[in-house]
Amino acid sequence: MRILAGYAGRLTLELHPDEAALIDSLVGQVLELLQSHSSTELDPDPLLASLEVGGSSTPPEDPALARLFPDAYEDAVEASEYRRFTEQGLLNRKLQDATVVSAALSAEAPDRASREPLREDPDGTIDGQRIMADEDALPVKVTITEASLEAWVRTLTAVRLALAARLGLDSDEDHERLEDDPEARSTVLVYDWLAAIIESVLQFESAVVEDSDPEAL
Amino acid sequence: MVSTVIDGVRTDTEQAQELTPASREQRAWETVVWDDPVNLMSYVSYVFRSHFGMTRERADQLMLLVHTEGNAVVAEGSRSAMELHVEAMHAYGLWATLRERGE
Repeated sequence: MRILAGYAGRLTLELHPDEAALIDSLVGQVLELLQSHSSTELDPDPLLASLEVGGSSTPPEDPALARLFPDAYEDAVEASEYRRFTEQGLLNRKLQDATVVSAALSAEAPDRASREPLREDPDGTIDGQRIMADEDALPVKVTITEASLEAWVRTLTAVRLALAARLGLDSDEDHERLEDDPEARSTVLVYDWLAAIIESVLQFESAVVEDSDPEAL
Repeated sequence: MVSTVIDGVRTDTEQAQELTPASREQRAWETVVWDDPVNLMSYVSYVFRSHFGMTRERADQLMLLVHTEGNAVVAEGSRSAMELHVEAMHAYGLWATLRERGE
């Protein structure tokens, strides 16, 4: 993964195809999770969808959903009332964000048949199997614009929140413990890798903000 | 865990009762952002700048307060305004609640 600066607040996220596929899969899982909790079809109008009234009166039982939709009040009755009116609108907004990311990744995902070059075998014949060594894979380049940056960092954050809930990562000590747990280790690595992506994107974002508006800071 | 951090926070309405009903409704509520082990410090600061339009200094200051104290009040105002802020914080994946002002 690396980030290349572009013009007009754009940045390009350059990913190995496996990395792009991994993010796509994780975002797809969050989309499914959100849809499983949704009581309606997503309104195609983003404003109407975000204003939609509705929701359940109790926090979701699934720990990942519970973390994505926390109580707004300490008082259970007030929290329940608030949730009934706001949860569906919030859910729709999260769906919209995740859809932006998912669409950007799908648009750039390599079409293997057309993009992978044919390779020559050592004896000079063409290898019709089109099997590529990993390091030869063409990177997937995803453009993040000023308009889509928020959807990206929100969605990658939602994935991390869901992973943390699945792992039972509730404190910094949990992180250390889970890193040493052979069953959790690979998930923790993905969780940390997503953090690095968010961090890089935000570093880029603040550099752009400071460049464009030096008076404000 | 989530619930234990929220426990122990109680509102004290004594101060608020000295105010007139109208001004109480205007300023009597606050938005609280809570520390969590998932969200990055840089991200929390970004959210404060992005949503509240805070300067980098102010956003970093509040972010550090969340991190070191476990929570910080990031906005004050009417109940309905604070409900909108909390919803916005939840859209970013931050853990936020609203409460009546007190000590």
